[in-house]
Amino acid sequence: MSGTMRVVARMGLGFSAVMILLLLVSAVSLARLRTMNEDVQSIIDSRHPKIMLANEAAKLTIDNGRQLRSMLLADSGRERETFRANVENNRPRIDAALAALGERIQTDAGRALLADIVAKESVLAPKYQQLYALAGTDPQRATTYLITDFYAANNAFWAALDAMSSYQSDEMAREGRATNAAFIATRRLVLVLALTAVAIGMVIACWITVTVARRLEQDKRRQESRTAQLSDRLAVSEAELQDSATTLTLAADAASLGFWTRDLAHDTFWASPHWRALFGFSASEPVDGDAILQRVHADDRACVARGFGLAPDAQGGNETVFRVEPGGGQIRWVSSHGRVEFGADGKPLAIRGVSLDITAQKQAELDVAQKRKEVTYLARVAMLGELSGAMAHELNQPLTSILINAGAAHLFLTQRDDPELGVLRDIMQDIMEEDRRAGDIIKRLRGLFGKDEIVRQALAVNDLVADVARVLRNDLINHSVTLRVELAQDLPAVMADRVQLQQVLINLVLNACDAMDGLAPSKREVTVSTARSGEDAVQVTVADQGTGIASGALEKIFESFYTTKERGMGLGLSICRNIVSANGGRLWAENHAGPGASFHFNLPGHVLQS
Amino acid sequence: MYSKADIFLVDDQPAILKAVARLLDMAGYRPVAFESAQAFLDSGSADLPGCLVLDMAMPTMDGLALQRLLRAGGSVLPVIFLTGHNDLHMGIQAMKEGAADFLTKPVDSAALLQAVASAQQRNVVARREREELQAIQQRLASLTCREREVLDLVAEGKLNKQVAFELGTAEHTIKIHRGRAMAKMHVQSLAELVRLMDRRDLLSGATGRHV
Repeated sequence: MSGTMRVVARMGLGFSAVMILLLLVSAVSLARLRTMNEDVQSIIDSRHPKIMLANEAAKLTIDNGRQLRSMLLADSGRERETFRANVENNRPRIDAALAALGERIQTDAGRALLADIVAKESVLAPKYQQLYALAGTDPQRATTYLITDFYAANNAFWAALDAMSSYQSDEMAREGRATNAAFIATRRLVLVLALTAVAIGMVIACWITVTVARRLEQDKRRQESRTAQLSDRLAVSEAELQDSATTLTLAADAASLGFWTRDLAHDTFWASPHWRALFGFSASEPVDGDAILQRVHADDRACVARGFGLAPDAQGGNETVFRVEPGGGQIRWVSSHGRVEFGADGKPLAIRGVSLDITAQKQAELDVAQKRKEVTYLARVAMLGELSGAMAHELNQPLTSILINAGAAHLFLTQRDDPELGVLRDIMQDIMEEDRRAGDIIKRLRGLFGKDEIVRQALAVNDLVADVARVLRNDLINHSVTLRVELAQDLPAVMADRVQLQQVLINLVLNACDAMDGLAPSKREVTVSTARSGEDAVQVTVADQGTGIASGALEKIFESFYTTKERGMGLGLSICRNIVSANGGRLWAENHAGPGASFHFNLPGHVLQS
Repeated sequence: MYSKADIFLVDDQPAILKAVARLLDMAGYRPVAFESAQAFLDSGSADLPGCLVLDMAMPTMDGLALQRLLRAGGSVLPVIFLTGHNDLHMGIQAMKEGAADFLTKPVDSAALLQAVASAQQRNVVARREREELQAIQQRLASLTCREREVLDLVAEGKLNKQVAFELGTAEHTIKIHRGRAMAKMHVQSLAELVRLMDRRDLLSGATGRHV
């Protein structure tokens, strides 16, 4: 600011100096010009009338000469008298002119010339009287006189007058030349002064410019050195920042993380591009609490409001998992983790957080959970079916013998036709009816839980094994069991019910896990393998490293209610065998030569079925 | 009503075996009980008149397997299956393979008696038809090759002259063969012979389906 002011002051000073100089020069020039003008006027005023008077006298003198000659040549006296009158008329005019001239002569040279003129006139004047006298008497002599004496005197007089005129003209020319020289000098002076002024102005301007430039240069240099210092410091911290930013970006990209910061003091919200994409905000769209909540699934809004510190009483900063609806009917699962930053006074300043898209993970979890639910449900239904079937089978035997016995007794009593035995006959009737009712109940129970329809479809057994491996991942981890899968290639497709077969496989694998509970985790290994069996059938084997099956129980284990587990129902393998045989295959078990046992089942290939 | 013949019972459940035997005894049949399929086969009763009440679900050899063995052995003994609900599809399979009936447990005594009576009646017819077929086949077996050839052509409705032409002999020879064959077949007329041959076709074709 002050620098600029200084520059302006200096420039003003410089321009003022130049202006003053120019004015000065103008004033001097004007004064000189006025003086010169006066000189010229004085020259004209003093010289010109003197020349004119001298010339007038000279002209009259010459005219007198001519008048006198004409007088002498005239024939009549009257004519002579006319010419003489003219001459005498002229002579006072000459005298008057000489008198006027005399008044004007101021210099010595002029006075000398005038004296000469007067001297010559005094010589001439008596000649007029002489001539007049001769003319009246002897014209001849008069003529001779005129030519010899008079003309000589008259010419001398004229010459004196002419000398005066020439002198005055020469003087005037001399004075004019002097004035001209003065004018030229003045002009030169003015030019020099003006040029000097301009030069001085330029010098001042240059000086000011240089000074200002130097000052500016200094300022700039100072500024630059300060900037350089600052930028050095900045470069260092920028490099550090760049470093950590790169690391962070790498981590964020790898993890699909979106960052956000909520400034509580200014109630502003900032989010990284990734976060914006996650929530379906464009790069320029303004983001605030309401806009965020708008994108959140209605059921999750309360928890998000707490996590982002949007609710009035919310602390913010905990971990939240919620659903986002970025538009287009899409739903994303997002996990958000925030941390509150506090000021020196202990008041919260801002919440910083990261949000992570966990849709795929959530979807996979949901898928597996759904599949597990399905399998669990079907397993339960199958177990109930098996249970009711087994119960029906077991109960049907005694019910049958009761019913037939009662029938036989009824028949016996009917044949006797003894009225005394009528009551017994009725009893038998009631027994038979109740027996039938019991049978019906069992039948209904069986219908309720029995598998209605087997949905057979062409299945790739290898895919089925992979499915089951996925569904059982958690169970295998819980059992610390390693699952090895050995799949044969180019197996024929089998015609079977997918979910039922999954159930069989799950059951066999979980049985295998249970059989190895007593082993060290490193030895717990289950192998599921597929192989071609015969021409077109597929055989699946589930092998464990467990305790094996008691000799003599290899068939019994498939019976209903036979179990070796403390809390087992004894239905699992029975169900498995039923399912496999319902799908046209066979399920059997065998002990290994070493530790463990294998369960095999085979299924006819698709081609055979069709 | 046909005479009350032997009813063979096969069931691994002694209680049921005893009850069914009691009921049938009461209804005037002569029940013969076996606790396993093998025991029945060993008794050699497969060709006897009567009927078989067979439990479907049995260890080692189930009802369906026994029925298949009997059919394979040419037995015309009608089989009534007793099945649990678990073995419904096996019962259907058994019917397809020629079972007389199948009853689901618990079995109503009246239904059982009716099934037995009906099977019994069928067995009588089937046995009679089998005997008839056997008689016809015995008579046919007594013919010489030439006589059989002549008989087949005559049964097709050809004249003696045509038969002689086809077989390349004289009509007179044909007449002699024909007369001898008719005598061996115990028929008086051509119409009777044709009916006998049709009967044989019918019975032999129906065997195993109509038991």
